[in-house]
Amino acid sequence: MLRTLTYMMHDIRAFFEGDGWPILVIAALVLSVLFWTASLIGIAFFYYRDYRYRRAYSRIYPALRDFIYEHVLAENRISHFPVEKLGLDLNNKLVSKVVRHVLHEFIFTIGGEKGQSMRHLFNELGFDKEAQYEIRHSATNMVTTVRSLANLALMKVSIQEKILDQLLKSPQVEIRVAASKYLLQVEGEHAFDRVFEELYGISQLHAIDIFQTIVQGDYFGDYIFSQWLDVSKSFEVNSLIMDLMVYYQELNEAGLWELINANKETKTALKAVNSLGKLLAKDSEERLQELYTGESSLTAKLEILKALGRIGQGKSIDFLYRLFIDSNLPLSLRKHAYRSLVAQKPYSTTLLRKIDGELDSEESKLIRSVNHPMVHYI
Amino acid sequence: MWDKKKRILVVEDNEILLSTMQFVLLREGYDLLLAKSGKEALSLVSDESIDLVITDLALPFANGFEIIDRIRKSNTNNQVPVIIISGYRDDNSIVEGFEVGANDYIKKPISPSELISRVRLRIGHA
Repeated sequence: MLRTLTYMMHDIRAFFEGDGWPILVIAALVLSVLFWTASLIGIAFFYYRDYRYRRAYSRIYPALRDFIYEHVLAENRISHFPVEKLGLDLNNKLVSKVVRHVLHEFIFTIGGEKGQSMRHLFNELGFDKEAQYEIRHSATNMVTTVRSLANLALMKVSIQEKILDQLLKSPQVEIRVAASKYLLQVEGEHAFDRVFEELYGISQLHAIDIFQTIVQGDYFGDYIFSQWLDVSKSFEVNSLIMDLMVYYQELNEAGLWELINANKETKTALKAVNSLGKLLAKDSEERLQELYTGESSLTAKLEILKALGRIGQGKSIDFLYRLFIDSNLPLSLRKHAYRSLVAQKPYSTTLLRKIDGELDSEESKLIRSVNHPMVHYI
Repeated sequence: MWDKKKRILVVEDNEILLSTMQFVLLREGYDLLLAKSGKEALSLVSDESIDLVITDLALPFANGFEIIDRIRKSNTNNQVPVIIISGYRDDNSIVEGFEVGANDYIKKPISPSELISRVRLRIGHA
């Protein structure tokens, strides 16, 4: 080892003294050239693919648009479109990709009966079968399966029950989430039970994705989301359920308190407290005060104060007042106590007047900050 | 003497939706002015005589709310009916749309026959 190092040192010194390029420098140069060449080839390939796509798009889009205007919008055709008139080679991958994209854009744009006709056109061009085939034969290929599920959801095409079940139980979370979204888009509220039953291992981004899919549908029913709150489940799953409860204003104080008392995961309990506030859980006002007293974490205390402010039924105004005037408490707590008092008007009007008359300079600064219009709770 | 065609200003930045509305409304015989941005729309509103405005909300340079606000404050077209077409499906956007002075709100994706009947309701046949 020492000998090798000595040779290397000698080589480097020899290089700088003009004895030619040592092997180390040559190797570095070769690697560097290879790296830059590969990078340039990659960039060139990316631009070439993009160029080919845009060229194909500019050729196919006008033809497909005119076809849609003529046969879907003008002729009022519902099915049996003369797709052969398009003269497109759909076996060509690039052509097929562009046609699919253009049709997607039209389907997102045109609704009602014409939107349904657009879906029929999509199916008559064979894309539904292609997506079904991809799902059956590429179930392990995540990207293909997720894309195919999105296509089928958009077209509202049904998938064989057995295959759908496999996808919902896939070991890959991306596929499970895509299958759940497919079910929600196609079956709406009828899919809720099945989706929530299979929900595990999701990330927060997945939870947002599923939440968006549900709220973007036109669901206004009376489904009980809180039945899926479960202390044994992850924060992400419980958080999704709580977000849905808040969105649809489904108050289940017992369920939320179960999460708080389980004390398994702090952020789940914090979210449950936050949800109690957003759901205006008026029967929880006293329990939240008790929880505050037994709590040591500053973050949890702040969340409780915010929730009390949101509920705002006047039962906690003395409690909040005591916190505000306690100069031994951290400023952040006193600030939120005051803010929650303000939120409890008109119950707190007298107390707020009293506070205004007793302010010292620090408290007055704190109150100005609370009353600033740009300060909001989330 | 020929009756003057009713003129509609359509403001939409999505190429497909704009051309679809153009196709549908031209077939009904309306005269159209097209704008792909809020800026273009605002200059048309101040320069041209218009019978109806159909506008998206999310637009480059000036959004749909600003366009409606400007229309209502303009000297020439302040009484013109406005239909919002938007992908925003939440109650706040709809309420805000009516509060700034819109007369109707259509959620995307649009149904061509629904669009035509709402246009006819506001300004009648072409």
